[in-house]
Amino acid sequence: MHPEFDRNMSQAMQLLRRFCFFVSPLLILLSLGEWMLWTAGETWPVSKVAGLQQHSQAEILYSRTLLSQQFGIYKLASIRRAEPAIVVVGSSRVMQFRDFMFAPLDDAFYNAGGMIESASDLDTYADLILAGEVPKPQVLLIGIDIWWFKPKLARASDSRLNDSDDAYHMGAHIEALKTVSKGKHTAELLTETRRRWQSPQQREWVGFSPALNGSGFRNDGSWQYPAELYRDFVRSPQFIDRESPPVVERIRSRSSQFSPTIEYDEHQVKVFKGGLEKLIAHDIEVIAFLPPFSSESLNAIRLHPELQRLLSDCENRLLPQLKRAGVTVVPLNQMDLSDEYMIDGFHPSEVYVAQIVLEISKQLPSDSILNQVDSKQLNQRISTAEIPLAFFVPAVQETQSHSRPNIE
Amino acid sequence: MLFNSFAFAVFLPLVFICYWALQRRSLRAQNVLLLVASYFFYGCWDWRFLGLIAFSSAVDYVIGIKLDATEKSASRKRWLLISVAVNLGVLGFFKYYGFFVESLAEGMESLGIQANLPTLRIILPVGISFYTFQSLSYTIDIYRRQIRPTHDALAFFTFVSFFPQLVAGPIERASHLLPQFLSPRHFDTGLAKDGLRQILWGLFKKIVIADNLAGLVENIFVNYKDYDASVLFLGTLYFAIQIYCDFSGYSDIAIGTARLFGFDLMRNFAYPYFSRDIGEFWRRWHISLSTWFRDYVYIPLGGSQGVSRWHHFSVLLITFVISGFWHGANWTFIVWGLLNGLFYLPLVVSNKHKRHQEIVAQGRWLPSLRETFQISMTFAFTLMAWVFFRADSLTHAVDYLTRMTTAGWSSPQMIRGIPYVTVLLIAEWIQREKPHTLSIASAPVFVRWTIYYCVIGAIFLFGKTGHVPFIYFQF
Repeated sequence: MHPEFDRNMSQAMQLLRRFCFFVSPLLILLSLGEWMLWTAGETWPVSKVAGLQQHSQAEILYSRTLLSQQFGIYKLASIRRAEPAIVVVGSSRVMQFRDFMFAPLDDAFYNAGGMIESASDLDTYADLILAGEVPKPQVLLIGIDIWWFKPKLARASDSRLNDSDDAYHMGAHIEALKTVSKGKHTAELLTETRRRWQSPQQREWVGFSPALNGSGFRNDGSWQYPAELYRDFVRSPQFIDRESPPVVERIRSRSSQFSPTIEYDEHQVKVFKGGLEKLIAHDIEVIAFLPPFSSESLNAIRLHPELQRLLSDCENRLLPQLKRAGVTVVPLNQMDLSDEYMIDGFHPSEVYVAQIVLEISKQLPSDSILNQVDSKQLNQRISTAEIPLAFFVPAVQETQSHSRPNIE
Repeated sequence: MLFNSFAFAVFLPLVFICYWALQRRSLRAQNVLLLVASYFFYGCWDWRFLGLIAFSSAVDYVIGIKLDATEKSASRKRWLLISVAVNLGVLGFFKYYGFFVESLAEGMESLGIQANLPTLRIILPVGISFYTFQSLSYTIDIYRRQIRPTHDALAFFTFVSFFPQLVAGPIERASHLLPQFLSPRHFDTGLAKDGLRQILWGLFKKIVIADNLAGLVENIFVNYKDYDASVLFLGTLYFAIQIYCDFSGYSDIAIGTARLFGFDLMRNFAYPYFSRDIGEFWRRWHISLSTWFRDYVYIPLGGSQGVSRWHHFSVLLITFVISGFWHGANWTFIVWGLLNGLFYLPLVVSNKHKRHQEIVAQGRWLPSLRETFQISMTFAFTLMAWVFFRADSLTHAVDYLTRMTTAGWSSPQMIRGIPYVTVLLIAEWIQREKPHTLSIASAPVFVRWTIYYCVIGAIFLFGKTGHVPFIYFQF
């Protein structure tokens, strides 16, 4: 053996050891950060969370703050596990549908609000069901947003349902660690880690959002707002547009969901209708409705000619087309509830949503399984609701701060 | 597999350990490992094009031996032509077929002839322009009797596909790199450490500077009609820095990585933006390509010796135009090359094109006023040419430049890229006499380690995590 070869090898390994020594403090810091994120449940894969919520008797709230929230793939993972017969889909505007509203079918219910946020998302969901990759529900309730039919929304191939979980993306972890190392939420993360360290078995939530302010997805997929929001309402019982920026401002400034180009795009309608037709052809009962706006937001929409036209096209052209395609369309414009039942400009509260369920139950086809829903009991619950925003006002958790994440 | 990815961070140490462990066995075992690692590295992009590298390597390996085996001039010429035809044929088909068909169709349409020419959707194999040129230089050098062919197929295949420089250079000459595959490598700790420093600086330039400027550049060039002249000027400045950091960052990582394996690759960038004229710029920018074109295009076409002045000037312009076309199948690259040639021409006419060989202001902290003026003018010329390089079409480039020179200047916008530009220029100015910016081997250990941790901290805090591909991969 040539002695120089041994010398080369030993020098190379010496350099490697030195390099490992050099990077070890950095790796230790990164590992510590990763461990804290894991402890908080922030970096848990959505399939793991879905499994935990599915098997837990107690309510376990879940939502990420530092990693991307990825509502769509989380809800898909939950549907795969729970195999529900009744599924509510739509944006965050349908997230207040809850399992007990469908009693005695509450075990068969799942709220997939946040999973469908465009026509192409619905089409992708339909394709996944047809391909047998996602369990088929018996009834699909869909809350339709008017901005899904604007021309510049994602095209068919752009659905976020095809995304992979950020928990497996190195870049997403680094971004989360970056946020923490810049001091944002660092103290809260340390508090949460200490709390988990002290009582590792007790887990009422997964992800950083519930630890921050008590908000997150319940086991049935519905969204729990921070307790502070309800308590504010108790202190001052009036409608406030709590969205940030307020919905009415978005409408007036034509930003966010209401940004140009505001027109009724036939291509989006075609994609959307195509998705629904696939579901109906697959023997799925589809019930569609337009979730309500606050009167303030609705007035602002009506004052804007293009938005008014888009809303009117959705009501007068889209819904009749869907009806003809076999969808049960439930108009909600007769409900006329006060704005106190709205969380903000376009998110109805759970009490409002319970009334929507009652409205839906009045217009069901005779063979719908939703006819089994106990309307009497639901009516009773509505009448005993503590405030218009919630059936019960939850207690504020000690560890919660007052910040509130945006759940759009 | 990208240099700025987690996969590469795992791949590199694994290959490094196996490589030096295999030295006990044989040189051949090390070359086998490098070949397998290189093909794996390339296959991570698209395994289907591995056959193309193997084909290109096989053709030039065989032709190299054939060239050496015959003394007949005609026969040697024939073998060389085959090599050139095969290499440029493959390159032409994958890279330029669509461009020629479209240009021909447009030309015929402008003459009123409706042309229905066959169009194909061809995927451009990553790095094809780089490895084709490297492989081609081997047969040309044998034809010129500057090198002898190798009979070691393994070494030759590894030379063509060596993973650090496979997809974006430096484009190595067989006379420099091939012998390194034929003899045992020595591990030099000093060089390897310097290689690690160069990798770190390359990552900083790519992830922090280039990738952060990329979004601003994209925004400004796409929406140029919405911005005034000051923003368009910034867009051009940002692009100049982005492409430099992107490409020289890749070269730094490639050279540093090769050093870890005991290989020496040629220097590809030497602080080009401190050049005092375009001639100096082209001696400092993408050196491996500039010298390739000098040796294999400019000189064979006549060069400057024994030809008329007009012949010399036209050869010069042709070389620049071909060099532009090498970058991509678009008229914008051709005009970019032509512009650089036109900027260079007055220097050749006045015989001043070789006057600045050393880096500016050697041994001084600051340049003189004259040097500052020269650097600024050279930079301004390159900025103007970069607009063509970045634009989607000639119309886009002309509109952009027109707007940049006619629209008014208003309060500063899009200035968040300026800190990146400033950090780069200051660091490079301080280190401009060193082989690379992080050449700090002579500094005390605590200074070195502090600098390393600062650079790593900057990459972590300010770097883009989206694994943005290197710009030159598309060429």
